[in-house]
Amino acid sequence: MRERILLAALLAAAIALPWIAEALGTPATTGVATRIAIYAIAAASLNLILGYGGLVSFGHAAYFGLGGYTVGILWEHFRLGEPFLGVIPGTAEFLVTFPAAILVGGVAAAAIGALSLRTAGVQFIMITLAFAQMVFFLFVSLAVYGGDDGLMIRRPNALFGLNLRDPATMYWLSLAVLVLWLWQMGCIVRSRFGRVLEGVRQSERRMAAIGVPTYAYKLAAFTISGMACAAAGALWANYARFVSPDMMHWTKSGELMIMVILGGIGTLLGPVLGAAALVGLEYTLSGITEHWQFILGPILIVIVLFARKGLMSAFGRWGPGNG
Amino acid sequence: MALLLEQLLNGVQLGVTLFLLAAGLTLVFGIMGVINLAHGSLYMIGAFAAAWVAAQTGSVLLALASGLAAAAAIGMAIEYVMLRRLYARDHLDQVLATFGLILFFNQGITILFGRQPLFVNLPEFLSGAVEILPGVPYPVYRLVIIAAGLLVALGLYVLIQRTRIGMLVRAGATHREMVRALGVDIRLLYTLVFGLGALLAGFAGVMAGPVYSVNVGMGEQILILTFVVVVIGSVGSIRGAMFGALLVGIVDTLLRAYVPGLLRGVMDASQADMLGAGLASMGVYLLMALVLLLKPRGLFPAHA
Amino acid sequence: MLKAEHRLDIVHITYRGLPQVIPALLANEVQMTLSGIASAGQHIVSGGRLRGLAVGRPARFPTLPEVPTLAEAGFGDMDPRTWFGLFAPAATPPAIVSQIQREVAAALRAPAIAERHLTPNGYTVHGSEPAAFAAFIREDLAYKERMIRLSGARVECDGARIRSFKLQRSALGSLRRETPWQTRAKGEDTMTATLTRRGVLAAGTALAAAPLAAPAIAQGAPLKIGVITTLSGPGGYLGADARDALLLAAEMNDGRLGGVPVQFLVEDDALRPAQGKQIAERFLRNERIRLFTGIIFSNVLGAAAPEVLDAGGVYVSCNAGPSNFAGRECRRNYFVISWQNDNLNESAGALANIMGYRRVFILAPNYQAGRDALTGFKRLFQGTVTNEVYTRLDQTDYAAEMAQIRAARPDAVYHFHPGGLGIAFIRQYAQAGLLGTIPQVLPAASMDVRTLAAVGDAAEGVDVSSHWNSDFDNEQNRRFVAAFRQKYNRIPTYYAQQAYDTALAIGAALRGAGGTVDNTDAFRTAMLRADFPSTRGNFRFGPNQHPIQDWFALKVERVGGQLALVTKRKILENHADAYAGQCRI
Repeated sequence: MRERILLAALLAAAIALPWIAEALGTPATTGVATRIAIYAIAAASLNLILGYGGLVSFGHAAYFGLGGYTVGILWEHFRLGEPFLGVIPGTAEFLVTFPAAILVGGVAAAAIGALSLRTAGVQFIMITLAFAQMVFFLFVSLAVYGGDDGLMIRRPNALFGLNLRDPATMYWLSLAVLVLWLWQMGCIVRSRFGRVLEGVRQSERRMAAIGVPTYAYKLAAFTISGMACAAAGALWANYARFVSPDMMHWTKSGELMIMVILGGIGTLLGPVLGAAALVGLEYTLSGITEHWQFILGPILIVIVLFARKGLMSAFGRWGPGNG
Repeated sequence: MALLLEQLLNGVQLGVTLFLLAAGLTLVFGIMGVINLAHGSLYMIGAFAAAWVAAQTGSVLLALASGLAAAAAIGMAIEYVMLRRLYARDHLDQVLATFGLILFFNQGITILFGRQPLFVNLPEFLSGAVEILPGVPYPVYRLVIIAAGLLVALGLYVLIQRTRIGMLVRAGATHREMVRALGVDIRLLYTLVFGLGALLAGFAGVMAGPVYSVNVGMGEQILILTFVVVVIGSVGSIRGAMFGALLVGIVDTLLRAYVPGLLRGVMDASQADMLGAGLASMGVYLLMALVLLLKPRGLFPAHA
Repeated sequence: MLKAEHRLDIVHITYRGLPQVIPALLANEVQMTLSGIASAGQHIVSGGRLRGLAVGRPARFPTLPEVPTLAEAGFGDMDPRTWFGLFAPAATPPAIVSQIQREVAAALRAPAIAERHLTPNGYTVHGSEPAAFAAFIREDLAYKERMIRLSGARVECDGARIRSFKLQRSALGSLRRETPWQTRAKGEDTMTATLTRRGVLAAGTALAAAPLAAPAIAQGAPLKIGVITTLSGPGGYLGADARDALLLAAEMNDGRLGGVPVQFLVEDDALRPAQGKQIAERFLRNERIRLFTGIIFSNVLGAAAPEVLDAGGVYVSCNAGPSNFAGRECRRNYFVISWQNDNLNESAGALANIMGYRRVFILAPNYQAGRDALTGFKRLFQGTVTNEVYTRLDQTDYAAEMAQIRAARPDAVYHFHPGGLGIAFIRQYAQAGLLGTIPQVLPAASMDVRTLAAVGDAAEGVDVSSHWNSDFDNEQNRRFVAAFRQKYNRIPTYYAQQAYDTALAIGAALRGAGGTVDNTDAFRTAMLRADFPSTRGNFRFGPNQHPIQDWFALKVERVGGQLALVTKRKILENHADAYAGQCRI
């Protein structure tokens, strides 16, 4: 019961954030919070396969980037008036681009997963990395979509007449998607599917021995994870109004992994904490000194060495979705 | 024909640099079971130390010595302070902690040296070119790198295959637990291995400085390729590292040299070059994916 | 000020007015006062009973030739003055204002008035125009602000203010009763007004009557200018030079540009468009900055400038000048002080023609400015291009390209590699043995003074085309180079020079627009007048708000044993860019 009250309070505070920020005279906080929310979605999606499934994917940023570029490419074709590949018309409707991004992310994850899941251990890590790098270099080489310089999206997508340029509106949209996704993840984790995944993480051999088609389950989880990550990418495209291959670079994958690990693997709210910590740290530290990474590095090391379960462990046993 | 030869040599030179890094990385990973993302940082430290000393003293030997010393010293420090607590932990924790190290070192170097890249002036006898074949001049320094790399490879081979320490290393790479069970002081072995890896990385940095530019972030750029090499060549295998490095070096260089040209036939120059550069970079990863799908343990797996 | 800054031990005794002070002075009850020449002059001249210590004007007063100026007496930082001006209500039509100004100025200068009444009493007649008058008021405000601070005077509760306000009403009333004119007469008169609270409030209320209603001038807060530039990576020194020059320009003018105190907020874009965009957003949103400059690389400009311009801000480019913004995508509030990117390379093409090269191998990194570079070169180059190669922006290893050059055997090589890229390329060029065999024709971007210092002998004999060189012989340039060398201990690159010119251009625009960017149309009008002395000599804007300027050939030669860039001859004159016709503003 206490958990629920605390959660509700947290949610209320999160919703009220734009007003609080305005009142405190720091309107920029809403933007930072939006960034945290979007990264939290991506980190949470990674957490599904990493934390619960034990699959260390070092190439998750690829889906984040693909989601973003879906929005970007559809916008570009909308702006130019020519259909993509001659068939698909451009659009700036959120209700079209968002599902499209999710679809693209899912297809990509399914394809990459199908191949990568044939390996395991460090080879799995490296092959997911390889595929992500391939996607990265593919987009770097496409001059028509800006290449290395990225693609500007001059106007955010249209959604029921909402103005997504307004920081508060964008924030609430991202928050809504985050809450939705976390709730969805909670359902997955508690379901039979989630239990099997957990079992696979603990011992794949055992699961195979009792007759579970582990490959299929892993692939399904991988695909779902990719879809959610792409959704985050689509939101990012609307927030930043700019997509670039940076979004798919392996360092971005690394950042997502850090958020997951920092926050607490295998916990529902862990990724949110991790995203908040990393983005928040970057924001505050960079205000103090331009060499903020000098401080962040040791902080990460200390957390790894001494706070074994990430930040969530600092909050004790309570917290939904533990394990 | 001359062009092809030059490009091949360039590929070998890149491969040799990658080998120096991959050898250390594969040993650390194979024997100690530790993923060390900060390996690239040791490469960077070696490069910076050598570049700075070279600028201050103008002596090649001093620069070389200081680069090696700096990398080895800092490597040992990392191992003693941090890494040994991570041996028992899983890969994720190691990734996170060593990522933190990368941030720390990158900013540390920025604080010490500023953000500008350092440029190393080669002494007279190392700059310039020699004609390896009539009409095909090739930079002397790159030949030196190739020679140095091959020498180190030879040295490593002798060390690993013909000495007692090397035997322990091979054994550890094959089955770590067994080696410990047989009473070998594993801590000492680990420290030695890590030190050796750091030394090799530092050496690669010292050599690479004059060719590429010595800048913050140079470690990460080459680290990713190094990982590719390690995976292709199999974790823990020096032979695999050599072969993988040469393969990756040559493939990458040749793709970058020829793919844009091939594309110009079908599209305009700027687009061709951009797409070509992208595809060429993709090439190595495609190669790795292929290898992993066909031989998931790499080309020279340590286990049976 | 005498007490605060010069630490003179003075006790201030207040009298109700000058008529009470003079007898006290004569009776040695007090030893020093400050007064107008009119009132005290006669005692000094005729009776010799008072001794003039100093006059607060630029030159000695004719009837008191033995009295030194404040500057001569060692108090040059004090500038006591009162002035009289005519104001009209804010909504007066400009035509009427001009007419009044003309007539009154003529009248003031008429001998009957000036020589008979004004000058003998120590007044200097100015008769200036509204814009200049406004600028003067602003400068004066700042000086008075300093006075107020030094005096420690504070505004106290409203009751007191109202009381004092009444005391001044007669003074104001007389001002207001006058028919509104607009002129300026400057009298080097009483200083006491500034040192007493009465005087302070008088200054404040008189100004309140001024019809220059724009709130910007009333505030003392400096104008914030957002500087987004590349400070890290191989291109880092480019941004550092630009930033240093911007700061220097303001410093050389007391922390002001165009009389307006400015504050530069500098951040590093790390050559990443996404980062540049984020910084722009933050400056716009949090710091509420409207005026931006600083970007070096065109890809960053492409992401950040639209962000600024869409939000109604102004961008003045101190280096990047990509072709898209010079043509179809030109914008009213986007100005370029440096060059349009193609021009630099067109000049190199022209230089290649002059040097007689028929076959040239050309290279550039694959981004907007690089592509513009090769397009520009080809536009004016009349020979054949043997190969056109695009490298990567993050490339440091040019072995493959060196091999290609060798295989192609061209007459010359042209490459566009700004910053650290140039250093790596030129060194590897020399290492590959190409330096002696195939000459290079370079745009200034590939061979600036820092590149030269880094590559050393590998650059000897290279021909370079540029719009400026540190050895240009005009006064503005000599001042700039000397000041830069003194402050930063290095020769400025053209990135610094362009930023310096940009700061001056911004200053001129601010001066003409009333010290603010709030009215972007006024700012634009003032900016396009290009009313500043450029270090290049000639400078004017083309119709697309990009520069029209001359281009020169330089050569890397030994001067006194050291390698330096030496200006050789002019290549192009009054050269405009090729995209102006596509711009519709």
